[in-house]
Amino acid sequence: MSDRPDPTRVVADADVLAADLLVGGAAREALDHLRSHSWTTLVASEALLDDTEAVVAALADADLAAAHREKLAAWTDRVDHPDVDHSGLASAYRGGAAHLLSFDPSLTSVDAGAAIQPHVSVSVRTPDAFARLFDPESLWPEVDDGPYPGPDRDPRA
Amino acid sequence: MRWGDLFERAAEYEVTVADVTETTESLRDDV
Repeated sequence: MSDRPDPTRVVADADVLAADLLVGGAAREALDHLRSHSWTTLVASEALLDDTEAVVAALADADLAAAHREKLAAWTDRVDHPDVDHSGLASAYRGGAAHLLSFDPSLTSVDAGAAIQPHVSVSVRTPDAFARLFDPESLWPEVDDGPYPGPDRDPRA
Repeated sequence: MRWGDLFERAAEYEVTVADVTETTESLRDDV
């Protein structure tokens, strides 16, 4: 893994993954950017999938939580980290992701950013900020020399 | 299962972002 985080690799914390499923809104808009572009990568650890499944099971039901986990497991690039680590932050760090999406103000605040940045080169954003700022056309040169081809995947598939 | 089908199943639950953030925080605090 290079020292520079990859702008096409993204982690969504458990609250955002659960909100994508159960709420919609900004979380779904943010993750639809990734679902629509096959050259982006959603990164997650088993611990992050565990956290997400627990949240969905608590707010909905265990069958839906398991089906959601299975879908996420097939979509995400898996990374490992120590059990004691925060699963979202550690997934971003271990996975070389440039972005961590979270609703948690203890991660997204300016003070939190100042505390995190010296240790982890990741930009922590709320889903609505990511959804607004994500610009696939400007990222495309990181992937290929040709013209940006547009979305290449059905976000509901 | 398709994402569209998962979202359709999930739509039967009325969940807010506040519910999700509180539950996530609570589950992590319990670990």
